[in-house]
Amino acid sequence: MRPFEYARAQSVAEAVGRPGKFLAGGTTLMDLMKLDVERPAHLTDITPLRENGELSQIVEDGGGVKIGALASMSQTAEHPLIAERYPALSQALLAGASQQIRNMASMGGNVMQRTRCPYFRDLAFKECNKRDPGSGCGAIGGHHRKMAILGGSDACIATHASDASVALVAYGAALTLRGPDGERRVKLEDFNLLPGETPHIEHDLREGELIVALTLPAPIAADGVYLKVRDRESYEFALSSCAAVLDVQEGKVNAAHVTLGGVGTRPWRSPEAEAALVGQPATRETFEAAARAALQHAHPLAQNAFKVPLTARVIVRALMQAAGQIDEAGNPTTGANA
Amino acid sequence: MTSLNSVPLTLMVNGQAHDLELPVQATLLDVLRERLHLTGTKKGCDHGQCGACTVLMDGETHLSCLTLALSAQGHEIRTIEGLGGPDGELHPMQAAFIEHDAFQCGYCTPGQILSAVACVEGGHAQNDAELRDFMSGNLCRCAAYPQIFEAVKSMAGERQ
Amino acid sequence: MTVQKGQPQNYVGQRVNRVDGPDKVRGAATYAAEFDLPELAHAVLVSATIPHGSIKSIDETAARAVPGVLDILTHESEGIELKPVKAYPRGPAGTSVLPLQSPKIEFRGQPVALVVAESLEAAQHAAQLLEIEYDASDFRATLEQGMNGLPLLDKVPMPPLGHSRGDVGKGMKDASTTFEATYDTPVHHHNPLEMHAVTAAWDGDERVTIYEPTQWMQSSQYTLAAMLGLEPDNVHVISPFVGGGFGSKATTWPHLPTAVLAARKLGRPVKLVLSRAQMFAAVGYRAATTSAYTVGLDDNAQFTAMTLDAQTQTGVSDLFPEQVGNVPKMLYANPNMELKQTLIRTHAGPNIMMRAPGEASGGFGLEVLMDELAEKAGLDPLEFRRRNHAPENEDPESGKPYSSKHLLECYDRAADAFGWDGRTPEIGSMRDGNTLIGWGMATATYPVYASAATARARLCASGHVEIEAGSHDIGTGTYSILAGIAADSLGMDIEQIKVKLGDSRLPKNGYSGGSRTASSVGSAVLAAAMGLREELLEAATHDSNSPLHGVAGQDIKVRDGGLYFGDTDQGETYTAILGRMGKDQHEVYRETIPHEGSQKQLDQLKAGKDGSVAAVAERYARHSWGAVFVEVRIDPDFMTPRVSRIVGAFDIGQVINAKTAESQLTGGMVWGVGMALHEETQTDDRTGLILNSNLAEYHIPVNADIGSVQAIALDHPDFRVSALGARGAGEIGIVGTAAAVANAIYHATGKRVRETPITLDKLL
Repeated sequence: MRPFEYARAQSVAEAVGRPGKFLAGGTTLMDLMKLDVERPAHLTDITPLRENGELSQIVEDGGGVKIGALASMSQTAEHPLIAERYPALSQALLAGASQQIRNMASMGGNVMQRTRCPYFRDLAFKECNKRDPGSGCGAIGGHHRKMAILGGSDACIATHASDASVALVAYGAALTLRGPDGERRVKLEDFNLLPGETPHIEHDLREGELIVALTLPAPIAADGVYLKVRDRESYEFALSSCAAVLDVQEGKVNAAHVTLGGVGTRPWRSPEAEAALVGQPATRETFEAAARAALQHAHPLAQNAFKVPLTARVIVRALMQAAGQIDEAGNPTTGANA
Repeated sequence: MTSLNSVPLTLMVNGQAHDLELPVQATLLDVLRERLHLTGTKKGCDHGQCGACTVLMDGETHLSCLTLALSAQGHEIRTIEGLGGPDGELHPMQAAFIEHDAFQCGYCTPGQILSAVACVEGGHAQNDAELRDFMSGNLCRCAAYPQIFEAVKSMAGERQ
Repeated sequence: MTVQKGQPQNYVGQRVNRVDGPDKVRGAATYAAEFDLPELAHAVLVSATIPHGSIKSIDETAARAVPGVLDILTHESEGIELKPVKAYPRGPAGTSVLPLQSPKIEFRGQPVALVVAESLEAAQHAAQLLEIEYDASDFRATLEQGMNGLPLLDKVPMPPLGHSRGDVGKGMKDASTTFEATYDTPVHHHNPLEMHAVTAAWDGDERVTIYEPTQWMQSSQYTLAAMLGLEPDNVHVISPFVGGGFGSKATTWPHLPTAVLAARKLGRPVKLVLSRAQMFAAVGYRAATTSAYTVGLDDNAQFTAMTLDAQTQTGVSDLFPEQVGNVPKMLYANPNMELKQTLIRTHAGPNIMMRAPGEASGGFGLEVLMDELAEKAGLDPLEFRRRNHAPENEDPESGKPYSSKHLLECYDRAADAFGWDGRTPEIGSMRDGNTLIGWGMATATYPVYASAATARARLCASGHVEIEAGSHDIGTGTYSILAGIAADSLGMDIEQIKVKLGDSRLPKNGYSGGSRTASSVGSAVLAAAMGLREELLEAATHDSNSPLHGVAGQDIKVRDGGLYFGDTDQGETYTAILGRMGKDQHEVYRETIPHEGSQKQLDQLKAGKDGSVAAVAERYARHSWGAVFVEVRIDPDFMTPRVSRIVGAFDIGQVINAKTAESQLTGGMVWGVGMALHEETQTDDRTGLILNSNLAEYHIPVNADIGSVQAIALDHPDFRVSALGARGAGEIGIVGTAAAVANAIYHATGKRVRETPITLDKLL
C-alpha cells in the first residue's frame, strides 16, 4: 500500500471539504488500496464520527427513517426500525457480507462499494475503462460470466456489487450529502451513474462531499423481500437478486417497487416491472409479465446469458414471496391462493 | 509534521497499552503480527476474504487485515491471546473446539473461535442455518466445518 | 493392533483429542512466518504479469527511493547464481525453473524480483513502484489452448503412464452395449489457509536455517543445498506447524531460494510471505484434465472393455502428470483395458500433486461414467458397481491379490447408514415440497504409499518420553497419532509423551503426502518406543536391585509409566530404572523399512529422496477403499445445488486416532463437495492470466455450504501394509465424492454434467 497523508476528523464540519478519500469501515477502500487500484494521497479517517454518534444514529424521520452514514451494516440490519419496517433491507444486509464485514462496513460506504470485476481489481489486466479511461474493457471480449446484463455500455459491463443498495433503492432511499457549499439530497437510484462512456465516474459525488445520512421514506408496504441467488450459500456476491416491495389490496397490486442486483451496472430499479404490476391482479402471470418487462432490454453476452432466465425466476419468486403466496423455499404458504 | 514512515499511536490490545511508531499505512493485522508479535491472529488472504485475521474490537468481530492501525486507536482490541483466563485456562469455546476436533492445521482456528464466541454471545445460533451462516465468514481449508458446527452448537446449547 | 498384544489400548484406535490442540486454540502454535529473529528484514515477491516472453527492462528508481528499502533482487543482480536442480519426481524440487537467473518468462506469476526492506509496509510499497516492461510472446495458458491452439509447445505422450491388458478390440466386439463420454476437470489451487512463507537466516556463508511451512523438509534441505552448493547437513529446516498443505507444500518452489539469496546478500535474516494471489502463481496447482472413455458392457452389465484417452495439463519445463488413469485402470473387474495419457504443456507454470492427485480428477470421470452406465443397464447404481466388483484376490491391473479389501462392506455400511433403500430411481421423483432431492453414490479408492522412516524415543529423568521424528503435522494429526502410539507402547499417559516434529535435524523422514505419514512414521515410532521398552525391561530384569530382577520378559506388562509383573504391584517406574542405570536419559533410535520394501527405500530416504514402495508391490496390490453417498437439495427455479447430507464408509486399515481420522475423512469429503460445486481457477484466454486469484472468487465451500457429513471407518487392520495395520486417511475422502454429488444432481434434475464445477448456469 502506498502511504498517504492521514487526518482524523472529529466532526462532520472537520471532515467535509477535505481532499482525497474518506475512510470509514475500510472494507472496500483498504482492499483496493492494497491492490493499488485506489491510491489516495490524502485519507480522512471519519471513524470517530461513528463512535461519537454524530453519523451513526438510526432514528425516525417523519414517516420514514434516517440512517446515519456511519451506522454499520450489522447495526442497521438488526435495528428494530429497519428489521420491522424495511425487512428487505435487513435481509439484504445480512446476505450482503460476512458478519465481520457487517460489523465494519458503513451504510454510506456500502453505497460506494466498487465492482468485483477482475479486470478492474487486478492491475495485471491492462484493459479497464473504469480504472484507466480509454484502455478498453477486458470483460466484454473476455470472461464475463458474472458481468451485468442491464445498464452496460461498450465501455463497461461491470456489475454493481452491493446487495444493500438494491434494497435501499427499492425503498426509495435518498442520500444526504454535505459539502463545503452545504447540503443536498440525491435519490440513491440517481446517485449511482450508468457507465456510458465514462465508467470511471460512478457516483454523483463532488470533491469534498461526505455522505452524512441515508433517508428512507415510509415503505409502500409492510412486506418486503430480498432474494439472492449465488454460487455459494453464504459469503458470496449475487449472481442475481431482487428486492421486491409489494402493496397488494384485495388481490390487486396497488403499488410495487422492484430492484435487481447482481445483473446491473448499478442497483437496477425496474420501472418497467413496476408498471407491469400496478393495477394488475397479484398472480403468477402478472409477475411473469413483470419479469419479462424488467428484462426486455437485457444485453447478455455468451457467458452471462443464463442471468436472463435466472433473473426472471428470481423476480417471480421474490414477488410471489412478497405477496405472501410462497415461502422462501418456494412452497405455497398456508391459505395462499394465487 | 511527522514522517509518514513513523506515525505515533497507542493501541490497546488485550488490556495492555502499546505505544508504537508505525508507517501510516500499517494495518492492524501486520502490527499485531510483526510488531507486537501477537501471532495468534493469522493472515490468510489480507483482503477480507477468509476471516483468519478476525479480532474483537470493542467486543465485535472485525477483520484486522482491513483495519488501518491508526483507525484502531481508542478501541479495545482483543485477540486470541486475550481470550482465555489470566492463568492460561481455556475459554469454554476453546475447550469445545478441542473436544469436537474443530480444526486440523489450526491456522484458521483463532479466527474461527473469536467468531464462534461472538456467534454464541450475540445470540446468532438460534437455529442450525443461522449458526452456519454466521460462521461462514471464516474459511477452513481443512474443511472442519461439521466439527466447527458441533463445537459452536454445543456452546450455544450450554448457554440456553 | 499389535502394540501390546493382550493389553488394553488406551489411545490407539480411540477418540483422542489432539495433543497440539491447546496450543492451536490459544494461537500459541508457531507457524513459519511467526519466528521473531533479530534484525529481521521483510521481503515481498514480485511476479510476472505475462505468461510467456521476457523482461525488457526493470526500473528500480522509484522503488529504491522508498525509505527503508534495503535491496531489490532481479535477474540483473550480482552474486545470486543458482545451480540447476531436478524437479519432482526425479528430484525433490517442485520445479526446475530457477528464479531470477534470466529475463525469460515461461509462466504467469513467475517470480521476477524480490524487494527487501526494513518493514513489511516499505517492502510492499516499493514492490508496487517497481516498473517492469516485458516483451510478450505467444502463449498457451490453458489445457484447451494447448490441445487446440496452433503448435507452440509439444504434446508429450506418456507411455509409462499407459496401461494395457487383454484385447480391447475383441472386448468391444463382444459387448452388447458400447458407450462413449468425455469428462473434464479444471485447474484447482491448493490454497492452504497459511500462505507459503520462508524466513532465512545465515550463519556465515555455509550454513543457513530456513523456517518454512513444508510437507517435506528434506525437499527444501536438499533442493537448497543443490542450488547453493551447500552440504545438505548445513541447511537446517524448521517447520513445527504447517497451516495446511494439500500437496502445494510437498516440494519447494522458486520463492524459497530468492529469500535465501537475499538473506545472504544482506547478511541478515529475511522473511518472505507470499500473497494470496501469489498462491495461484508459483506453488503448483492441480492440472486440468480431459478423459475420453469408450466402454463395452455385456448382457449382464459387466465390463467387456474400456479405453481411456486422457489429456492433462502441465508446465513448460517440468512434466508432472495428473494421473487420471490411476483409478479407472484398477477399480472394476474388466479383462480388456487400454489407457493412454498425453501431457499438454502450457504457460500456466509447473503443476504438482494436490489432495488425491489423479484419483480425485480421474475418479470424477469414472464414477459419473458408472452412473451413466448403470442407468443404461437399468440397474441401481450401487447394484451396478457390485456387479463389476473386482475380487479381493485379483487386482485387475496387476493380477495380484489385494493386501486387504472390504469394499463390499463399505457399500453395505454406507448405504445402510444413508438409507439408500429409500431411493426411488426416477429422475426428480424425490421432493421436499418445491425442493428437488437427489441421491447419488460413488466408489472411492486410494493407493497405499509406504515409506522408509526413522524415529527416536528418549526417556528423560522427568519421566517424560520424547519422540523425535523429522516429519510433519499439516493438520493430519501426526503429533497426536505418534503420541498415542508411543503412550500405548510404553503404558504411559499421553500427557507424558512429548512429540517433536518439523526439524530437519531430527531423524529423517519422507514427505507427508500420499496419506503415508501415520502408517510410515508411526511404524518407526512404534519400533523406537518398543525398543525403548525392551531396553528398559532388559536393564530391570538383569539388575539385582530391581523388583523385576529375573522375571521373564513375557510376564511383564507396561502400565502407569513403568514395568510390572502381570497385574501385581511388583515392578517399578521407568524413571527408577533410569536412575539405577546412572543416566539422566536413555534413548533408542530405529529405522523401519516399509512392508515389501528393502534397504533401497531406506537408502533413498537418507539421500533426500522419496523412499517409498509403490502401491502394487511385489506380493500385494495395496489400496484403501470407500463408498460415498450424497444427498443434494436443489431449488428447481434457481438450480442451486446444495449438499445436505453425505455418508462415507472407508476401509483404511487400522484407525490410529478415531477422532483425527474422522476429521481427515470428513475434510476429504467436503473437498469433494468443493470440487463438485465450487472450485475452478479461471484463466483469461486473451492474456493468459488468472482471473480469480483470491479467496472471494476462487470458491471453496463455506460453513453454510456443508450439511451433515458422516464418516464411518471400518476396522480391518492391514498388517500386509504396515506394522500398525494402518493404511491412510488423508486423501480417500475426496475420491468419488465429486462424482457422487454430480450423480445426485442428475437424479434430482436429469441434467448430466460431465465437468466440474457444476454451477447453476450449467443446470438452468
